[in-house]
Amino acid sequence: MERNCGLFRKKFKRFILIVFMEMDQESELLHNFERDSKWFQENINKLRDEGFTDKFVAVKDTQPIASGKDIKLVIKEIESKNQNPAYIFIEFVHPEGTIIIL
Amino acid sequence: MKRIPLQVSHFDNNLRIIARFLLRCENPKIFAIIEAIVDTGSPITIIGPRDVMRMRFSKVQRERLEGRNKPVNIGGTQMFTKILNNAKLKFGDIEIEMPIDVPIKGEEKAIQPSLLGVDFMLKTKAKLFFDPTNKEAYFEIEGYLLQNFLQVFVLKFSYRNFLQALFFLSLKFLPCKTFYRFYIHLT
Repeated sequence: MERNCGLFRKKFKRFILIVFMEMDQESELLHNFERDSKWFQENINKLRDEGFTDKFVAVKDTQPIASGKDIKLVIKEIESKNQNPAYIFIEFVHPEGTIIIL
Repeated sequence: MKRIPLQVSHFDNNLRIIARFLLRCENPKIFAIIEAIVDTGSPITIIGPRDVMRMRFSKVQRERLEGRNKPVNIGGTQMFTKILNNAKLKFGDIEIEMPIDVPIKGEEKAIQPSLLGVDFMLKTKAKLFFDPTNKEAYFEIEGYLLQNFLQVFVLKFSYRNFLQALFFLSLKFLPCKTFYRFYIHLT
């Protein structure tokens, strides 16, 4: 009985740990994504000066890691770097002064 | 009362309310971070073509979704969409299950953003607060706490897990053996 009880405790602690680890991973992914999005907004003019206008730019850890006019090629480039594009910030660099109305 | 904080982004003379959330779906398997523009002018929530490609959500998978090819006009371009019924949108500790539109045709340019439409506000009974001067925005959801509690404990964790949680707490304060016996009896 005591052994089972200990096993139960162990299992339950592992379950709680997994739940918290998942929550932690999710919040870290969101935090990194948000940081890259803010970096993109703050450095959009710098990106334009570096020739990224009219291109899709993928940003990870505040660095452009892939770019191109075709989004499919950008995603392939991200995958070739062993990154999951679902967690990577990708945005289109419009020419300066473009107003986007939805 | 629960608040979902939103970001007010102001770059390139484009002032926008941005919502960031985790999009999850079991069938087809999807897990991605989405940055959507909160658009009170849009009756539907739609995932932009760029995000669809990021999620590696293939055209074949999208064709299998429910609904007819519904034409949607965004910013002068027309797309055709189908409905992803069991999408889960997670904002911090709040998770909302609702149908969202996914483009299946006319998305070749891929520059249209994802939009969080009025359907989200209707589903959650949310109110939008937007102060462009101070760059502050958030959704306010009334009476969400109980709903969220039930979602976490009834939908996400099974009955067995709930019992485990209850007994784990009991074990901390009361004699272990008696409660373990009771737990075995119940499960």
